Amino acid sequence: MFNSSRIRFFFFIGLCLITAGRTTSKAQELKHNSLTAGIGLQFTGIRDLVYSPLLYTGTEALLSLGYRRSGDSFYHGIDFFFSSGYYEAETGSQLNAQSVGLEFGYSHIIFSASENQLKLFLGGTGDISFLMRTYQLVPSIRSSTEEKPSPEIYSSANIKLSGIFHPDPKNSFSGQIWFPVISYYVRSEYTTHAADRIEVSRDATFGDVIRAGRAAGPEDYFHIGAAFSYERRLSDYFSLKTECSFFFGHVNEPLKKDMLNNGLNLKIAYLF
Amino acid sequence: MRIKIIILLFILCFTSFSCSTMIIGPDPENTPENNFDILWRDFDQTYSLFEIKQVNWDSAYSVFRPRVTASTTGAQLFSVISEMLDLLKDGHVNIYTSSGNYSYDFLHHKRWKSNSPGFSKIATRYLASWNANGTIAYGRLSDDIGYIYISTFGSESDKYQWIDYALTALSGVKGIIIDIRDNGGGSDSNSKTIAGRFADKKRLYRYFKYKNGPGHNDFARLQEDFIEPSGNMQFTRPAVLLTNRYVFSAAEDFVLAMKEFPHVTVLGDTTGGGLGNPVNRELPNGWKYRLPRWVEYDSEMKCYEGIGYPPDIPVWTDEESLKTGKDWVLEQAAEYLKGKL
Repeated sequence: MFNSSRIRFFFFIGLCLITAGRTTSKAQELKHNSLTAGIGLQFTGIRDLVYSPLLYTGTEALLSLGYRRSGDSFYHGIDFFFSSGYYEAETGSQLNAQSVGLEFGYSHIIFSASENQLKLFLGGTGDISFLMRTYQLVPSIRSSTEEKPSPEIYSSANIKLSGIFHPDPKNSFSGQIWFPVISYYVRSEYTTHAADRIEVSRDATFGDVIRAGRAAGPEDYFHIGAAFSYERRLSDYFSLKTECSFFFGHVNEPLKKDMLNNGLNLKIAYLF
Repeated sequence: MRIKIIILLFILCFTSFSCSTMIIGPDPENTPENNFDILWRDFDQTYSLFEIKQVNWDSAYSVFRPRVTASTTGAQLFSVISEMLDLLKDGHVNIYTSSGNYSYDFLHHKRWKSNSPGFSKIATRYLASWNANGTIAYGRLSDDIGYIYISTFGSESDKYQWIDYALTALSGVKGIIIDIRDNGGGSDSNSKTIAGRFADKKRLYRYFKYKNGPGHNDFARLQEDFIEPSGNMQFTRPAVLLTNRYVFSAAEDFVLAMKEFPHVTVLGDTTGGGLGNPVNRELPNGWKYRLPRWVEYDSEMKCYEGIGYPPDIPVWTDEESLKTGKDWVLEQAAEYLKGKL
């Protein structure tokens, strides 16, 4: 039987196909602003030595929302995402993870060619993401109350290089790559994490936890993100976008953590 | 054309996903030597009590590591590791495997015995009526003396809110006996929930410091921790807290908090002396283990790790009376309370 999420998925695909059938106007003026909603899958590999020497891999469901305003020489926007999923180590140990994030940015044109068919932009973004991971390391014979989620917060100011290529009014290809200049993050200490601090010492507040974070340059917290997408104009008001994203993050302190994400997203955009 | 592009994007995604092992690096090899080394090193860099226990961990490596080779079986590795961990004499050091678990055997090594006949015998012999939620039980020993039994601090937190029902039901009594004998601990938060119902005012009750680096003496700053009145009502009339050798961990934290209150007397046997606040880990062979990550002190900066908190009034009992259901410790507590009322 179909569950409600499957029904919503097929409704979404149906909507895309119906909209794709609509005739686009001949002039097909490029609209400058868009609202997007997307669903996708994110494949993740993570090894965090604070918790385990083992590599955990798994799949997360990804939801995203975005707003973008574009001009002839710039674009700026804001994106929100939520992901949730399970990872597993070779030994069968499990980890469940949820994250929410917000990114905003501004980019300005630095190069254009072939009557604006190709544009390159340079800009900056700011992002903040909140991650909650629960390593299921407590054996079943012990109380499940020992199992606590480990919250982490990462925020970075990034440089972003992006480009878009419009071979014709209906199709476009775009790519972007970003990396941090400076970051601030709250993550596990050598043997503890924020949830411990709040639980053990009830005087600790969320503010205390935030203040316990550390500022980091790229040498301490490095990440690189990239996304490549193909967008198909379906009508005057809608377009469909397929996006492949890649993210690698490395944290040095207090013990090494490496994380790799590959996402595949399907987004529908309302153009106005 | 479009299909090709989408296929290309898929390939790009899945290929890079399958490369996660290559980019992040493979897991450590699952060999007996490697499992031993990872565990030994993790203890070396994380275990917080080497100085207090006066254990030379490098020597332990020299003694036990040669006994592990590529042909060592899982059972043999478990035996060697267990023997090594016995040096720590620590109730918070455990190994969990699919074929058996390791815990330091206090009964075998130290001949510790319980001084409690257990709640069911106590209820039968001493309580006219009682109420329980699986974690907390309460009743009356007499019109003036209430009795609260807490079996563990490891249940879900909402079970401890039930203390308010107990205190309301016992609101007419002049004194209460709180029995945590054989309570092996659980969550600090739960022990604080109960202790807050007996707090007369906010008091410093302990200090702790977390391990924060690989050196045996790498600790984060010493933190203070307070206990303060919580819940709708607090019981501040005379109370006796019953303890024994099997009171461990969060249950010992409870003792540290309760001993700060002037109206509370600790009676029974010394507690277990395991205050290490463990963290859970795993090995490449799938074994899970835990080890202490902090050092805890009472309000006077005394550390009871490996020693246990001594009662204000020591009372022992013998096995024969326990078998008959006679609870000498409880009877002594009741006598003591009568003298205070």
